[in-house]
Amino acid sequence: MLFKNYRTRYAMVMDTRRCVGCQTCVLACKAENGVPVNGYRDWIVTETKGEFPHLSMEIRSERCMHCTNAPCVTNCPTGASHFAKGGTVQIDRALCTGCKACVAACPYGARYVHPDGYVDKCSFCMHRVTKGASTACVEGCPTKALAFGDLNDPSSDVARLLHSRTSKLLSPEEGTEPNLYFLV
Amino acid sequence: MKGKIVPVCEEEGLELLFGTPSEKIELYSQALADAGFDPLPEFTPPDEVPPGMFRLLSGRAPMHTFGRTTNNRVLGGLMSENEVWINARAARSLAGFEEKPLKSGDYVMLVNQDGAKSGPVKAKVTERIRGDAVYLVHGFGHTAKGLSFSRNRGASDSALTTRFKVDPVMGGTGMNVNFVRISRAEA
Repeated sequence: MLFKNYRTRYAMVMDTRRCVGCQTCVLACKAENGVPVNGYRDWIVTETKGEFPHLSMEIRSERCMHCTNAPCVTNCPTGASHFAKGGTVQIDRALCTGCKACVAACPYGARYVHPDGYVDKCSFCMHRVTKGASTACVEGCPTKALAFGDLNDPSSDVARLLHSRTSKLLSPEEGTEPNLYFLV
Repeated sequence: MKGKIVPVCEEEGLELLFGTPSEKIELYSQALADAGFDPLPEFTPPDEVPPGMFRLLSGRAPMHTFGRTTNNRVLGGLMSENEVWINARAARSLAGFEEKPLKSGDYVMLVNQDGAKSGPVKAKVTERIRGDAVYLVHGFGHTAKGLSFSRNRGASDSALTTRFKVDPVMGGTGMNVNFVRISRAEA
């Protein structure tokens, strides 16, 4: 694909073993990005397996996966959803008509319609990242379950974590090549 | 350097002694025995759960601080009402729910052994709790009119805690000694 070759490849790594599901990431995101009352750019998923008392549980902080092969971008009729700096997926609000084709195309349910008529989702806090800061959710996380950085930089937190730990992707069979990794 | 050096840790020669008669950690306490208590604490089993009822347990949610923050719209957006957790196997054989088994999301009323009532509260049928207990997050079921957002959302574990027990030795209170019955909330 044309857009695959980036010098920087922004990615997030989420440690399901560290996360306690406190939703600080959700709140940090809402405060940072002015997310409306009924919209969410990130959310918590809790999965329980087994029958009491033989149980295992996984807690995940999920958001837009900024897929390398993003179906929202290929399905956007106006070009509002596009690949941007560091391989992230962004939305041009001026081009968005709110048709929701991207909402239907996204296998992760990462998008919602903003009351102002455009579709909104996680931006990987590019307004912070371009100034050298990390994302709001990463900085807010009290258990340090989240890491953000450049996968192409071997000394970044995300590269080190993925190198040393076992990770998984959500719905890899969709072929979206997501850039949100879950440590298990 | 003047003065006498006072050792402040074991490495400096401080003798480690406890403020007990034996000056050691006492698993068996003569002081407790003299006062007429178990010198080596014995397990006292809790009261049996009456048939058809559940022990009421309560706890916290990470985004809420006691009952104070449930009226906050931003935090309330993360969790706007509490749920009563009930074991999946127990929910399948729940009395009064034979025709239509209890599902997650159904609203129920909770009544305790003294007739105190709280709800309606959403049920959460889950494997994450044992079969003879139910669990509520504390801080919901407010009735104050001023709490315009959180009023009448969920059930109050405080309202259902009409009894408590006192530890005879050190006076701590145990509040998970109340039992509740679950009934379907009238639509």
